Amino acid sequence: MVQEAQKSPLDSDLLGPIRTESLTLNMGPQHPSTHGVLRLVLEMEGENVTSCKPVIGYLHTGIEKNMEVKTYNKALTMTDRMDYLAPMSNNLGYVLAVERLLGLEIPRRCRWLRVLLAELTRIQSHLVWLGTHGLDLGAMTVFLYCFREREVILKIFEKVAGVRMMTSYFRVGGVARTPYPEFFDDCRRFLSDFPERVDEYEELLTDNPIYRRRTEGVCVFPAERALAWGVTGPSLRASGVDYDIRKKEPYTGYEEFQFEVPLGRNGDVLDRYLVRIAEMRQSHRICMQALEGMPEGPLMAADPKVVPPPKEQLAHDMEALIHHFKIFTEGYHVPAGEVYQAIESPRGELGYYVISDGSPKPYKVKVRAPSFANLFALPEFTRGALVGDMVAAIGSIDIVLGEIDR
Amino acid sequence: MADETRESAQTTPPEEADADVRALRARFGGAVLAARAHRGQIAVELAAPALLEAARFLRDERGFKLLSYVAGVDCLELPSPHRFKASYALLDLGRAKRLRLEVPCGDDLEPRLPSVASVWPAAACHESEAYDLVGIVFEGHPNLERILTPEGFEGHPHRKDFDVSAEAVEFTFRPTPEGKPEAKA
Repeated sequence: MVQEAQKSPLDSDLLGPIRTESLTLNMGPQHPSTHGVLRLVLEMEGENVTSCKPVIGYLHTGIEKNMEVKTYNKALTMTDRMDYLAPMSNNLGYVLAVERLLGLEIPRRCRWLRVLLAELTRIQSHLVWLGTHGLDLGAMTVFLYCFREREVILKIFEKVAGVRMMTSYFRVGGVARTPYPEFFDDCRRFLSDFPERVDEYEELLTDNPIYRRRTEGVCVFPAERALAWGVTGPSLRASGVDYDIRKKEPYTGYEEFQFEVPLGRNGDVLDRYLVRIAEMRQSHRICMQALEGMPEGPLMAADPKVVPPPKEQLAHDMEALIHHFKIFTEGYHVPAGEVYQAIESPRGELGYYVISDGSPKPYKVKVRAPSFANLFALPEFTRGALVGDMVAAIGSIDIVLGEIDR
Repeated sequence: MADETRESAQTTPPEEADADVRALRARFGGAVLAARAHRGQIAVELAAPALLEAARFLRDERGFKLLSYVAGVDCLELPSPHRFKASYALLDLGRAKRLRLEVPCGDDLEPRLPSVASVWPAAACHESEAYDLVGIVFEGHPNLERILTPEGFEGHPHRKDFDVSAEAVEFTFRPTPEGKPEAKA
């Protein structure tokens, strides 16, 4: 056979020796599995990726610069436009940073409400991740299941904040308005069968041989290297590093809740999947605790200079009217200083570095976006991977381009 | 349960009581320009020439393995003797301890700092961003280039004197070997 092939007209004598060269492959920016407008320039040696360079900026809208010309209240609305899959987490990081600058004390009921909503946000963000990650790898059904549940959470968000995605519900000093009367019942109804829903997703993927072969041992993050590259969140914990900001540097009352921090061992795509699935179950646990023990009491901080008075008061209280007018025209003055407030967003360490010069507008806001650091760690860990594995790898770090480009 | 803000205000350590600040002072002496504790967070102001060595020291001997971000700041309207500074947020996972390094750039016109990408590879993308938005040049950076603004963009938009009202909306073409294609009339 071999000799016959050598005699065929397609012999290398006629066509010359087989020539190979490395190929530059442009992946994105319009590509369904890059989860947004991300472009990757891949250097290929055959099927293997020898280098990968993320090209970003397609969604850059100057959000941080824009925040500098808005009062602290107005700047808040910019935050949920960055990571549009986890709006409440973004709101939370920002309001905590400003509250820290102000030295503002937040009532316990408000802190618990924030925990409840932040965990619902984590669940819905993980659901979008799971659905799209499954879709990338050809598992279409998971997507439909995940969006079924996500819709319920978005409905709750819409009823509580007035908007499905760009909630801007957490405000400096509290929340935008009291939750509607059936809010807690709606949450309870959704959460009552959520663990079984997670079982359903797991049935579709966890032991699915196709899914496992696409994910096991793919795009491994060794713990030390992942740390050096600034990887945070579930992607870091999948490599076995036990660091969850909710546990280690508790904010907004997380120290009062019992939950575990799921860890992975190998740091491959499968582990990142398993960690996020387990996180959804833990978030469910936190939500249930928040619903059970929701404390009574005031919802807003007692600082009339920062927190707008209730609407009813405006009609008969001169002081309230003045405060209302001041807050919504000039804004409130925040004492000069610099803080960095980090929270555990669904994607990792989301931080707001806010500098105040004492005026009612932030002097500078720098957002430490978890997706940004996680994305730039990717080239190191995908060297030698197959193109098909790139899709699994991008999906597994759960990036949102809105917060990368800002 | 104490409120977190009040709690942090109470436990705010006097700057010298902090072990990391003391260690930095012992090792780098005069290069540590100042140390502040504000709202429970510690910031150390460090002279630029000592930055690289201090970064290695903090990573290897003080356990700050994770670099959260590098931010370029234009201090034009702040009471600061220097116009530009870079802010580095470090995290020691073992102690759950954060430290912020603030490094002023000596030259107001051409701000330059040594790159810490050799210490924390994570710094590379953040430094590119600070270069793009604020215009601080990081020396020794593996690939310093604009990453957020479009190709051919001029100026550094996060500078306080950047003129936001006069942005030219331009549709640029990638130059071809024959040169820039001409727009059709």
